[in-house]
Amino acid sequence: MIKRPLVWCTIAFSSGIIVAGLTRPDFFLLCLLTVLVLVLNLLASDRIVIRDISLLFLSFLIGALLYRNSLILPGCHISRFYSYKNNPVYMLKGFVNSQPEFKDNRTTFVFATEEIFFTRLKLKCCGNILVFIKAKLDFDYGDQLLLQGGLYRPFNRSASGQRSYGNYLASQGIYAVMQVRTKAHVVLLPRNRGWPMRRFALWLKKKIETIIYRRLSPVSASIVDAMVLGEKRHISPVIYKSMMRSGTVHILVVSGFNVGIVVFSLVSLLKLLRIQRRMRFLIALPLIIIYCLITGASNPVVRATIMAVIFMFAYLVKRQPDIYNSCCLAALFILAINPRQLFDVGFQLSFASVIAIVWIYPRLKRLLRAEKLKVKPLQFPVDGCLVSLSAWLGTMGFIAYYFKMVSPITVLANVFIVPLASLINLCGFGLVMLEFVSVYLASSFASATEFSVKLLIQLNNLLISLPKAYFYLP
Amino acid sequence: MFAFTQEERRVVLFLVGVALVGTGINFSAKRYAAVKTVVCLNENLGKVNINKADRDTLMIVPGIGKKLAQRIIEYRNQNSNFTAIEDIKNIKGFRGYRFEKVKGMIYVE
Repeated sequence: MIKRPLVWCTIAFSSGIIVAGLTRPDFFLLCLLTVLVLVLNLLASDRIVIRDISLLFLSFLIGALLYRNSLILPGCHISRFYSYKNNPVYMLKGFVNSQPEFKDNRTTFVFATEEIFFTRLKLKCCGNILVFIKAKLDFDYGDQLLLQGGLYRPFNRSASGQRSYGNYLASQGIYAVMQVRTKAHVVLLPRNRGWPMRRFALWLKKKIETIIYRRLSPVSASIVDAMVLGEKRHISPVIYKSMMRSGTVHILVVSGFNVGIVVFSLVSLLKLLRIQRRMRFLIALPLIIIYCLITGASNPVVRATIMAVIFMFAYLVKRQPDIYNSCCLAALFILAINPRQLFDVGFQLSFASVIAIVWIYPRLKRLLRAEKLKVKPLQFPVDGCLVSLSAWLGTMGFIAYYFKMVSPITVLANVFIVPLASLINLCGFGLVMLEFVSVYLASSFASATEFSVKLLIQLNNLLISLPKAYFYLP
Repeated sequence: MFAFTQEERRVVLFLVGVALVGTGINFSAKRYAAVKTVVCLNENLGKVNINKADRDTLMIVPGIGKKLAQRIIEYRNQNSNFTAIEDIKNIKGFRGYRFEKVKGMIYVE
């Protein structure tokens, strides 16, 4: 008997997306095939082989169908409006659909369009665009704006074999870019749009960032900001590159590791307050979802959040959770919303590392007979080394393909840096929470965080200075 | 083979059915989402039609007083209607700066 039905369904579903991406079949043909296979499955309910194969084929077809549908744009989509004749100036009404970023003297954000104005006409439109304004403007998610500027197709050229910027934006659902010359071409309207829960999450993020930057030095604050909130824009490029070389850059983005720390901290804190186990999970569930929204709901965070929710829910209904099934459910959830995420580097790395840890680690442990290790204090570093090695083996191919780099030091670096990063994360969360309770205690947490961050940077520099620590591929 | 249980099969079939119907609805919504006009603004809104306006209406335009309004009406009566706003230059007092001043506020139809 199969124990993991979702594994096969996910493999079939992903294969459907890949095949549809390569062959671009007709939408109606796919619909017809899906209906036929569905009918076949219903008719062959007593023939197990036909029934199961048709069920997998259905998953394959649904994957292909969803991918094909994601490529079709509605008639009123904003990308249908841009024209290069006479370089026209467009006026758009809509709302800010992401947290605005200010970098290189310009404000950037995703803008959800609602109306487009021509000389005499005001038309309804839809779709997201990326907006660049040559000024520093203090907008928030959900602010309704009126923008005036040029509308362009994103830059679509790339080096051979690499994905272009245009393709990257298209995978995020963005097909047009708007350049606004000055802030005089922007009008802030009184209405606020957007999802209230996301608005709350981003407001909370701003508050937490203020605490982090007030308590820590700029370098430490930028690293804690990236680790706790997933905000990388303030990190020094030198530090970022050195972490990339040592293969530990994953600690600078919010991933499953961070969600794990949040779940662990929350559950431990609630346990300390003597709250019942069932109640602990019920309180932690919405808080994890809010954390997912605060960090921008990237693929690794969504994956980890879904897995954490499944594990907690399984505990509440007293069922044994299965890591493969929950991982596949998370993948199906992400891909059903946006099938193009299958080709996203973050998605591939996130799932590859989890599957590698779950599948390779126990086999490596058995192979090297690590269980028979008699010296107890050695068990933790050996286990850490094996987990790190498994993750490295799982992601090495992707990293070599996308970043043209191999860093053998990753295995050793992760053994030291991951525990240190966990400590920084815990100190960071502690610092934020204690800020509301005791300023004195918050200061001591800030000092510990400061020390840990400096240690992390020094250790990382030492590791990448070792011979053959990393090398680039031609 | 893969041996899905009866419950698993039902769940997968239900999800496939929902996905199929949902994709169909989404596809139809996208396919038939025509460009809708919210407002069609009249570009002559707020301007005065010099072929039809009476003296008082003409005098609303800054730069056109009692005398000039009278001259427009007389010109209209003598030479049929204006065909373009530039025709107003034929009237004494509308050459040069005054034409530049009033041209944004008048139209012919």
